[in-house]
Amino acid sequence: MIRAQTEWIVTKRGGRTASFDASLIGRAISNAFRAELNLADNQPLDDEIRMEIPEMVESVANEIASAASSDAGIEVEKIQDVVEMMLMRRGHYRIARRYIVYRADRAKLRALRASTDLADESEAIESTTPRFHVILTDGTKAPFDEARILARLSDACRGLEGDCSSEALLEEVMRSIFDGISVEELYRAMILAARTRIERDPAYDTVASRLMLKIIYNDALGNAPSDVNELNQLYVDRFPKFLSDGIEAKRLTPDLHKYDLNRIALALKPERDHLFQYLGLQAIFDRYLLHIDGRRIETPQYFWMRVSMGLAIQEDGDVTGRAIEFYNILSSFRFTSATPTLFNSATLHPQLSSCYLSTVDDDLDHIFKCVADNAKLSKWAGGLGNDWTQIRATNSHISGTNGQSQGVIPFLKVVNDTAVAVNQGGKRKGAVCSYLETWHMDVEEFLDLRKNTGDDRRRTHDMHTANWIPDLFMRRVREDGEWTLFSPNNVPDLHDLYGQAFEERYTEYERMTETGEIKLFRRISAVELWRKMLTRLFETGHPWITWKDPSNLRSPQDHAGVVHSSNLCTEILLNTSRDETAVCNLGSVNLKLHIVDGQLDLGMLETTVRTAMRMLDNVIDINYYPTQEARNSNTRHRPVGLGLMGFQDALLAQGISYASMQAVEFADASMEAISYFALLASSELAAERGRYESYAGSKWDRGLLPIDTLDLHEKERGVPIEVDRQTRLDWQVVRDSIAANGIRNSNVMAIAPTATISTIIGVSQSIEPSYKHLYVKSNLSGEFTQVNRQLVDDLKALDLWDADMLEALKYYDGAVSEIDRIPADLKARYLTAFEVEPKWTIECAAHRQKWIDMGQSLNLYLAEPSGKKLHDMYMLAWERGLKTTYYLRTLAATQVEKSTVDVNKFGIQPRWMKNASASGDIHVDREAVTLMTPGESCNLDGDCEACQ
Amino acid sequence: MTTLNTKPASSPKNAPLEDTPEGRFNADKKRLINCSQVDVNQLMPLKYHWAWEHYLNGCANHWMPTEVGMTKDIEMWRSSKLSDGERFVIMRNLGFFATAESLVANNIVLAIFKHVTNAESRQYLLRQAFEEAVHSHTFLYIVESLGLNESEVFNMYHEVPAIAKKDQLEMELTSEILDPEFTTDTFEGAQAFLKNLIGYYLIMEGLFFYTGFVMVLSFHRRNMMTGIGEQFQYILRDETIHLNFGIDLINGIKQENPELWTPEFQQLIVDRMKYAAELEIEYAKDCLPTGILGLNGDLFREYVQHIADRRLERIGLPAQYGSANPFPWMSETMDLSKEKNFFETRVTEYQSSGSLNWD
Repeated sequence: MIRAQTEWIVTKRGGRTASFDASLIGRAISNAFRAELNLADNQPLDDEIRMEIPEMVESVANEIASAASSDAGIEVEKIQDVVEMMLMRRGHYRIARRYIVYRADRAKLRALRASTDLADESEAIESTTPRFHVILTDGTKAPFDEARILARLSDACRGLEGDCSSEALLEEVMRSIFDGISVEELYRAMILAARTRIERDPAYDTVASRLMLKIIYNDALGNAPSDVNELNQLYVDRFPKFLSDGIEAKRLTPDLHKYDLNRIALALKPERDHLFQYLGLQAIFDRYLLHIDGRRIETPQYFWMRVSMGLAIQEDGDVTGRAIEFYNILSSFRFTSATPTLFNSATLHPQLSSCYLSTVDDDLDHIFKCVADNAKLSKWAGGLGNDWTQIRATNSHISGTNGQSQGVIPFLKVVNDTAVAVNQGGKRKGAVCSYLETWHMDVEEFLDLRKNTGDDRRRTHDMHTANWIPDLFMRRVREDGEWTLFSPNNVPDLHDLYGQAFEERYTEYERMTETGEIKLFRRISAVELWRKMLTRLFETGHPWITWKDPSNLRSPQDHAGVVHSSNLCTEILLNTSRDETAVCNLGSVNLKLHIVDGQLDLGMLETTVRTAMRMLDNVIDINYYPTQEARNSNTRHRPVGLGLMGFQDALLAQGISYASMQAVEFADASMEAISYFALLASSELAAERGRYESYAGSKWDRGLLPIDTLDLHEKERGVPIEVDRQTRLDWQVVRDSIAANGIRNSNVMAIAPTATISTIIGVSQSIEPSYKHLYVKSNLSGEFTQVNRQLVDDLKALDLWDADMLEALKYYDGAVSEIDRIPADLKARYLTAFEVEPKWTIECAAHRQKWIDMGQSLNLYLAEPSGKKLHDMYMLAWERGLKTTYYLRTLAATQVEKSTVDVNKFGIQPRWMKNASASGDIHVDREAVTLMTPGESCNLDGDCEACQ
Repeated sequence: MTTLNTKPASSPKNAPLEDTPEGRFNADKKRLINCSQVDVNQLMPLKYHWAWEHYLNGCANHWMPTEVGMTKDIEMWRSSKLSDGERFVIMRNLGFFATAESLVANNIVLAIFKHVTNAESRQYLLRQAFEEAVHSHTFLYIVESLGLNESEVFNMYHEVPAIAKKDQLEMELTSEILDPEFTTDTFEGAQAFLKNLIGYYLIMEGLFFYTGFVMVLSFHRRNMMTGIGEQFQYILRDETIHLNFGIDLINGIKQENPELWTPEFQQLIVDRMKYAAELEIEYAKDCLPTGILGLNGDLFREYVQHIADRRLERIGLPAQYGSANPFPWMSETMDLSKEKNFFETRVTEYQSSGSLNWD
């Protein structure tokens, strides 16, 4: 007898029974289709399939009707077998296969979590004997409570349910945990689960951030209320305790008591915690938020406020108002101070500067003094640039011992090892870059310092190196001329000369080699040396290419010394001497945020830059100087380096491709505006606080702005610098202000790489093009998936964002150009760094350089490098008058086999292979693969409930 | 024994050079095995351009373990931040790899090399053998940097049953070829040779290595033991080429000698792969007696099956399990391009210059 479906009985594992529910079968089948079609969580099935599912359910129901009508009911296993047979009968072999896998998965999950099942909420509650225990902070064991985990995950997914599934997250968490897991690890597992899914939908990034915030709140506030009002109240209430705890633990300076703490606490904007993306939170959690014995005492807003209070501390007048002004700029992500400022502001050791530059004399005492200085400076998170050009070369005479020198290389090894030993207080790796001018006799060995072969005593694996190249050398390369190498003790004034004066002296010294007045020298082909420089750069990433003449000829401080080198990141160009270690404190404007309605908001930019300049200038007086030479230099000249970040994002916000004239135009105009406001702000500060000490005689004093110095450089070089001199703003205003008030800072602008701070606020790095649209950011906090949200949104709008697209994006290494489904206009807009011809990044940089008094950390990218391309690229950079370049980025020859992409589907031979092999003839056809009989692969313990 | 070639086996050196009027050979005559017409000393003209390309790629990827700093790892290993279970996993994997790399190297040099009768493929084999040496060096470097008990690590291959069984499977394959009577001139011999290649390239380097990779990279994912993690990323990059060369070689031999690829032989290979998968699952369980975050022994069944399927498909055999990769996070640690913060980590993407073209 056939009963009505409502009366059917299904026997579950363990002998329990339940009434039949046909919708569960439908759900299981549709899940199998979704899995096979690679649909994202929120994507609907095709209508055709959706229509077919009820038919399939009905067919199953008909088949089981008689068994299910019996008093004993039907076993759930049996139903599943019928589903599998039905799918195969209807020709859905691949779906059947998915279904089998799905059954197996379910079984495994169940085995993992003892007796609960997601598909059946009522059962989760019934579950009484969890197999897992969690170790609580106090060491006690508690039974694992799945419902609580799900609640926490659901809370984190609130409002994002369309894109994120808390149940999928729970499943992922369940997969990775184990008996005896600690609470911290459990929370970590939840974040890891969300992280894993970021590539599928960027909304999971928000989920991960929320989970991260909960951890931070628990640490810093002692509680993480879900209710917004409650949280806001807690935020305000706990602020005084944060300060007193921090001061007591000697993390914060007691001077913070001078502020009106009530007003400060009320100015906090807890909702801005949600401006952070996950990676930003993880980065500040790992290294920026102050902690006491590992417990973070800061929330993100306390952190910004602490930095602001530290920077305002010596302000006159309304000091609290200034702190709040700074806070509003920082916490809204309009401007971010450099890492050392964020680390150390308002602490007892306010070393807030990013960079130090020094020059080393050819004298043993001074060499080791500089090494010791390096150690002291990097202890407090400063990056270092050392000029080593004056150290005599190999085989030059040492008069004291009547011996011969070993040259500069062995000392550089000492510098390398010192950087390893001192690792920036454990927060960042010690970092130093050594510079050598191109005529130094040891230059060829200098080029080899980063090679991974050869005598390891003469290798510096942990140190950066850079070439300091005179224009004359570049001209000799162009003319295929000769080049002479000297030992600096024979040509002592050469290093301090540039422009025409250098050329005259250098050729004079060359004559002296012919007359025998100089015996220690070597003459080589300029082109050969140049090629060797480029080859090493290609192989080892070092030494970088920087140019001495533009750096000096366009320096505002040419009346007060010589720029002997750049710094760790090749953007700072300041004078150094035995008496002065140059210091620069940095900060960057977030350009993306200043694009309003598709264009640069000049009013907003002006406000940001004015406040930013004030913060940067304040640093100079608050700063803790690890050496006297650093204090000397900074108090005399007061240089600061205002830069920018989010350039690529700003282009995207305007719909502009990096590889276009509009991008060059924007680079020019945006930098002009920043320069305009920054110089004006510094001049206003001079009116308020006085001009810097060595102002008299500087280019500023002589009425020369950066835009005016291009011609000066061109004249000395004797080779045209092909960059237009066009201006857009009324520069007379700036000129008048400087003429009237002078200027507060000897140097004002430099574009830093912003590697970490751009991560904190979640914008594209500095002036870099998008690296990839899907990639992993790797830093001291670990490795983190980054997806271009804007691209995903655009693809979603076109209904193109699905699992197949994700897989293709992975297969093609995060670039869209080879993905057929993507329309051409999107392809043009979404180029990746390796797809943008280097000429565009160089042109953009050259147009920025018009306005900048120091330099830019300009990375160059070459996908398929050849010697010729390298030559053309660097020659173009020189011809456009750039002062420096930073990393050369190329791609590895091959990659690791991708593990989460179905690579066989794309072809048996890897993508990089140019030559066909017999493997190319193999095509994977999974349809034709014989299916196993149902049950065989399932390996079930008889309790699969996928369809019940 | 059936003879595979119509021509009598002869030493390639004495092969008659009769193919062109000048007595010079035509690249078409090159064969991957049993080549009797072309001197194996003669590299050019190339026929198997893919083999040469693998060789160039291997060269471009040159690295040495000493480039990777171990300071952070040493700090962590000496701290209390690692649980006993985590230390156990690391030790087990070092124990397996320390010897496995040598087994592979020996198989190339002592067993395979002689029988691959093609100069460009041999060129790659020489490169690969060197890379195996670099990998062995890496494990020694790790063991010494962390101050581990070297005799414990380097004896695991016979003291730990789960490792010994895997190694046993491989060593038998090597011995078979080492038999002084062994020749690829016979049908059985040629099949045995293919079995060896599949055993080493697909099973050893393609399957047995991958569980270890996951375990070690799971630490990397949590920002722990990143020096070892980085070493493994380099090794994995090399291994990807080893595997692809092996697959190309196997498919090439199949194509040139289709008669070897009998249904029985295919079944034999499938069975061996399934057997190897079971050994690997056992090994995974042995490494993980207790859980560590992100990993537990059960998930490895699925993972190993997933990898095994992938390997079978690449030599034209049907997938056996239909299992998915249960570790979606591997996307982050392995699949996606990495943008490194230069302040903080080393960039691994530079190539050796080899052939920069200036014109």
